Amino acid sequence: MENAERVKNFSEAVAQIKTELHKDVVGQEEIIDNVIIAIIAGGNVLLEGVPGVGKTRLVRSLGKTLSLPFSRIQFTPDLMPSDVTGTNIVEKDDGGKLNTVFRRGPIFANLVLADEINRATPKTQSAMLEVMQEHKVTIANATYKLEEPFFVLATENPIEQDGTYPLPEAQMDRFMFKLLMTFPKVEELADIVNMTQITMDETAQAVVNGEQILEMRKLASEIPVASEVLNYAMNLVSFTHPELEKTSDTAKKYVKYGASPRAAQALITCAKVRALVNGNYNVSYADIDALARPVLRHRIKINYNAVNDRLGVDDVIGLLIKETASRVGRKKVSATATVEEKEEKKEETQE
Amino acid sequence: MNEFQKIKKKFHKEAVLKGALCGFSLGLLTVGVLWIIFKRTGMAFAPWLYIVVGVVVALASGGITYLILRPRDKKLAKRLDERFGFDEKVQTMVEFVDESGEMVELQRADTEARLRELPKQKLKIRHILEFILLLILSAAVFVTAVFIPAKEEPKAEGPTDNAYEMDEYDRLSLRQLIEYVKNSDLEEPAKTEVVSELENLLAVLDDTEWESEMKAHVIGAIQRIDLIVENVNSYKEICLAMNESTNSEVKALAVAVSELEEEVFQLAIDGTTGEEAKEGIRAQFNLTEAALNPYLLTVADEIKTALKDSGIADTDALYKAWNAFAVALEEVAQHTGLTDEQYQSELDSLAFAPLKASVPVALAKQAVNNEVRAYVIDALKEIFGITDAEMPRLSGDKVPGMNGGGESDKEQDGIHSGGLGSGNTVYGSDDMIYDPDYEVSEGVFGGHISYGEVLDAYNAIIMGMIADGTLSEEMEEMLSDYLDALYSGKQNEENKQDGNE
Repeated sequence: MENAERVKNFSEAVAQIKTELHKDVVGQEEIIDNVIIAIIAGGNVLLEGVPGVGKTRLVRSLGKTLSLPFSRIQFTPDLMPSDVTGTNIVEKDDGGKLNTVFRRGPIFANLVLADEINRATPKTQSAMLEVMQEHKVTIANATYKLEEPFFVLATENPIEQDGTYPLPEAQMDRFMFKLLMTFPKVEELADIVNMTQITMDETAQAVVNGEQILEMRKLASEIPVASEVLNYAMNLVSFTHPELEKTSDTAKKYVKYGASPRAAQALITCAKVRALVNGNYNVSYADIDALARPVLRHRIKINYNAVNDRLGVDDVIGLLIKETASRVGRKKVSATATVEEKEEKKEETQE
Repeated sequence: MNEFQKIKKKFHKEAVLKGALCGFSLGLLTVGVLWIIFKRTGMAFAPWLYIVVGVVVALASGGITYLILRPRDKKLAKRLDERFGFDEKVQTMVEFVDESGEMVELQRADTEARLRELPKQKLKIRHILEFILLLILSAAVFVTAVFIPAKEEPKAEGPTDNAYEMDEYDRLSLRQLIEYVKNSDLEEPAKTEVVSELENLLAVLDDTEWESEMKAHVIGAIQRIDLIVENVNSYKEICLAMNESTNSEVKALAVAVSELEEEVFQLAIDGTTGEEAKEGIRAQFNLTEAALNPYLLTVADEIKTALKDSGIADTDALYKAWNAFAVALEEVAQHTGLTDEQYQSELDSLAFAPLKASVPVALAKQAVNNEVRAYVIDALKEIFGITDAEMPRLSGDKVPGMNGGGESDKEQDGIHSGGLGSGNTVYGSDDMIYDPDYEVSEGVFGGHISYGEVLDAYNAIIMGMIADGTLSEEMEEMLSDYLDALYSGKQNEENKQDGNE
């Protein structure tokens, strides 16, 4: 198929996915966009939000839209690793013979919702590590490959921290994005209420399948990246490390530890997808800037100075973007880059 | 990348235009600034150098500007992306220009389409106004340089020069001086040369308009006249040459020659008598035969060598006199078996007598040359108001290094060992003239005094009267002749015919 045709199909598919998702999820455009990008890029997403904002609904709707086998794992403190991955059980066959059979766990799906993942014990959480990174399960020396596309969407409740187990850095690093689902606006809330009065079930229809997702992934990987843009992205990740000789002043002041090389991989991979989603055939600075927060916010740790200056991790990332842009000689920083500009925009809209 | 190349060409033209504007402006500005600086400081700077500097600056600055502004693919791509918000499309296209691949080609096509859609007016030259302003500024500086006046050199402050016009008095005085020299006993060719010099001076001064010029001409004439007389005299050269001898008698003879007075010379040869008797040079030759002959030959040889070394022509009178003396000594040296008295007699008759007769005569002529020189120089000083401070260094009568500074001990004895003359002014006549202002004794005025003492004053008065036209023609002629006679010691025409000079 000609690339132009493929690109056209790509755009149509993305549009259809969005349309279907919006049938079940009100607002949250940025979240939806980023989730779609992550899926196409082949990454996992950590969704953080207060209860009831639609985290689970989004994933369930997504599963329907993508016509992918979907499973939901509700993480609780007593959840065992085998509850996630599956286990060997002894079964009597038809002949009455006892055999050991591997009973697959809920992880064996294309789309997995790991609900409230921070409530499970570290032991159970670590069971997810191999799955999320390598898309396979190893039990009793037997390896079971998961079917592609495989995608884990985990949720976290930022409020109830009692009895929770913060995700280790190694596992956090395996999430491509960390997205923050915010409380809906008043108008959105009204729409949610009106929609759910009719039905609580997801009404999204399947519009793409797994094969198409893989095809889209392959197409996105062909998007070219100019060396200047690549250089900018690499500098951005590098500048999150305060211990490096050539680092940013922001990192020296506000960052405890920086992002791993997976962040750089995630940035570029997702930037390519984002470019194509927006109808561009190349990655731009705007793509990098837009994806910087989802990619970096769960990978860097801010220090007490930032807390003291009342700066959150997103604010620090905004400062990093500004400083990196200045250092590489970019004349304009895109509108999505800085928090101040976003807030100014918010104020203007409200006025 | 056709669209991109088209845009690149446009920017390239822009770079060339801006480079040319910048180069021309800076070249013009540099020339203008330099011109102003050199004009106001009064320093010289060849016109062709301005052109060279201007061209070099123009080429260098224009070239550098072009090199900075010329569109390079990557830089231009970045510029286009930033300027038109192309989200790094052009940069990506340029970077992957050599890549093939469906997505790359799609990207390229998409970018080209975007570039094609760019309105032409968006690609017009930017910031050209700054370059035009630079050109205007440079032109203004250059025009200023053209019209700015050069620094005026302050007139050198020095003695102000007065205008000069030769008056009748000067002209008459100078003509009289010429006549004096013509009628004087100055030896040839000096006489002719001095007359020529004075006549030239007369001609030149007629056209002279400034006092400083006049003095320069007069001083020049004085120097040349001094040299002319110096060249015609020979006593100095012979004297110095003889003084170089190692022989004491020859040295003594040199000292004697250095005095132009005959009496002094005679005394030097013969010695003095009386209470303060002193041996003369002649007495040094009283030796026995055995010693005398070789001695005489030695002296003769020394004298001849000195004469040769002096550079004076052998036709010169003084040269001849001394040479004859040397020859006579050689002749006496041939004689043997004579007594002391005989030797002395031979020396006296063959050598010293002719010497004493001929040398003073030769020296007297040279003394007259000096007198005429001194008279002419003093007259020129007087007529044209040359002060002693303005006078150049002259040869003088004295032989350099031969006690020429002042009176020596020998001078007190009447023998002047150094210098020529006693230092007293010698006039050509010993006439006495009446001076009504001369105080003969206390309260008694009017008496005759040596004419030389008031001659100059009389001359000036009479010259003034002649110039004013106070005197009649006949009186003028008479007085002019009279003054000529006084100054040059000239006899009247009748005495001339009698052969008395």
